[in-house]
Amino acid sequence: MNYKSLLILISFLSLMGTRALAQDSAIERTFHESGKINVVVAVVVVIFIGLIFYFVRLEKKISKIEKDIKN
Amino acid sequence: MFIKNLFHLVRHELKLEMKQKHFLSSIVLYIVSTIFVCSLSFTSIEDTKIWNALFWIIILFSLTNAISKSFLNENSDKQLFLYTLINPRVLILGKILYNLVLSVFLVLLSFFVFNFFIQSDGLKDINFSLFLLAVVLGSMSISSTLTMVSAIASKTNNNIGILSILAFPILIPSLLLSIQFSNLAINGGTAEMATQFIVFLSLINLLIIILSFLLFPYLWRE
Amino acid sequence: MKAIKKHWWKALAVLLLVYTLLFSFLVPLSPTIKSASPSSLEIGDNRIVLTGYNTNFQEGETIDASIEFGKKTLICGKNIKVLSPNMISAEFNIPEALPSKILHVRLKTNRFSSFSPELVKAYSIKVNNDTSNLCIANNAMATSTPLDIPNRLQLNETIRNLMFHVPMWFTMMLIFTISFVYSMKYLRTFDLKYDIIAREAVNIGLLFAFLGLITGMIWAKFTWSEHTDLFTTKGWWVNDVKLNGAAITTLIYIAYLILRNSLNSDQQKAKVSAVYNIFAFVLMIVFIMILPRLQDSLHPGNGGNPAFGKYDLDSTLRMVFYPAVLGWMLLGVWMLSLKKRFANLENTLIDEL
Repeated sequence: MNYKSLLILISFLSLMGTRALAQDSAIERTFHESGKINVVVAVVVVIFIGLIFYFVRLEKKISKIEKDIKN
Repeated sequence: MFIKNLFHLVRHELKLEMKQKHFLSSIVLYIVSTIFVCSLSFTSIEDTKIWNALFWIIILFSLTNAISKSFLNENSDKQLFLYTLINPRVLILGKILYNLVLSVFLVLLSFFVFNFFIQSDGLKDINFSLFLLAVVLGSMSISSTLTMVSAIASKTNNNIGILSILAFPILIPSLLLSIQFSNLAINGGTAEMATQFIVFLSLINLLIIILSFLLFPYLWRE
Repeated sequence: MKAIKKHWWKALAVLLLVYTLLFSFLVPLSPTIKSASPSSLEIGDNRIVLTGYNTNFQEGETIDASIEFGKKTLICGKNIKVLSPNMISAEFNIPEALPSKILHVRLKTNRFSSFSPELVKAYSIKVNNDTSNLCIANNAMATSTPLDIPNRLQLNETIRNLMFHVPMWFTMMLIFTISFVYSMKYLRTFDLKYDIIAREAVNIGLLFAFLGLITGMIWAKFTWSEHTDLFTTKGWWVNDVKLNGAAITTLIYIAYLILRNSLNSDQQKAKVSAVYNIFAFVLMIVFIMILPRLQDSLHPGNGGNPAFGKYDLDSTLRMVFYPAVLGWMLLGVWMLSLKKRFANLENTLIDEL
């Protein structure tokens, strides 16, 4: 893990540690409205991002190989 | 022949241990000083659950320290010569057996030292024989896992660091079982109540030994 | 023709996943009564307002509301009024003595029937077995059973996550099993092409493990946790057997990758990591079978059952859950085959250069 991502992780954790100012912020409310449908949306989005992440990594590897062939 | 070789090997390991006393004394000192540091911050623990958890954590780390060395000497020429002569299956069984003896000794020692330094009032109704069984069975499964994993880790450069990374996730479940088991014994449980734990822990022990027996020759072959 | 023979399972994966997505977002939740207010009853006339979810009441619709005990109708509701599509009110005349202390309102229309949450008694009800004041309210008959997803307590719409969160674990287990099998094959033949599959399978399996962990954390936060505010560390991690099992699995395979990275030659990497893979996988499977039998779990099928209980899935959910699992599994295998082919190409290229 490099320095930058460690910094992001630490800042994220400290953000989680300090409670939000408002007790019931707008984001929280959206997750509880209408039968918590947005929890499902969040889950689907996470899976989608995960799959995209996989594609990006594969693409990086392929471009590296392409570069090697050219040289 | 197989059994004979096995006992020769275990005896050889024990002899080696007795000769180089610094290893055993260093691990004993490690245990005593760890427990002493704990006693400075705890002195007495009311909650038996915490007492138990602390005890097992100390066991886990001292056994990791003790067993991580079991494949370290392997590179010296004399040892290499010995190992070319015998079957690798004999070797791993010998190592596991030796480490079982060592870990049971270390665990019993740390129990007495721990009990000496850190008292707990909750230990009044402890079922002592069952607790000993829990400790022995638990430490056996920990030490046999650690032996096999240290054989794996000895192939890398960073032996001890890799050992704990590889071994701890596999150890968590049997550690959980042992902690629950010894908790039951501390609260005065009977052997009938602990049948489940005894069966599961023995099965895990058996399984680890069988797996090491089957897999170790692949590691050994160059 | 050849292309179909070769690629049919990829098309199947896409079809199954499209079906899963459409089904799990288009099929509505079954109509249910969410709350009854006031939730306490008194002797005499009570006007109770029932709030529903997806109920869609209409003026002039035949609606029966009754207080039930077991399968017997005790008190029929009178003066049923539709206040809004999700709200209805009814009057109940409560006598002094009832055969039970546990009371629910049952709502029945031509489209569905549903029970309300339990009503609290504001006075102490005398229990008698007198069932002479039974009423018969059978105006409404459920004529057709519409296609809907069950609306469970606490879960509500999040039950749809069953088609996304749970298959992640199934896929992960399949892919790690593939890795295990190819590690064994490698140790039998010492052919590096098997090692490539074992390694890539661990990579893909870890992706699914992380997806399963993150989606599970989100789902758990909003169903099991009392700490509903997002910006605390509380409630994201529940001390649950299945979560611990998942965490252990993830740690084991991260350790596998670290072990690979700390070895030097390819043969050494392949051999040592195959040994660790087999050792860890067998133990992990044993623990996953054993541990849930020792502790209770918040997950369905808890208390001695490592999988689902018989009653946790109804027929509608089965219709989409099994295809979803198969679809995600095929997708995982597809990703694995891409990664494998890529790694093979990479190896031949390195050999040539």
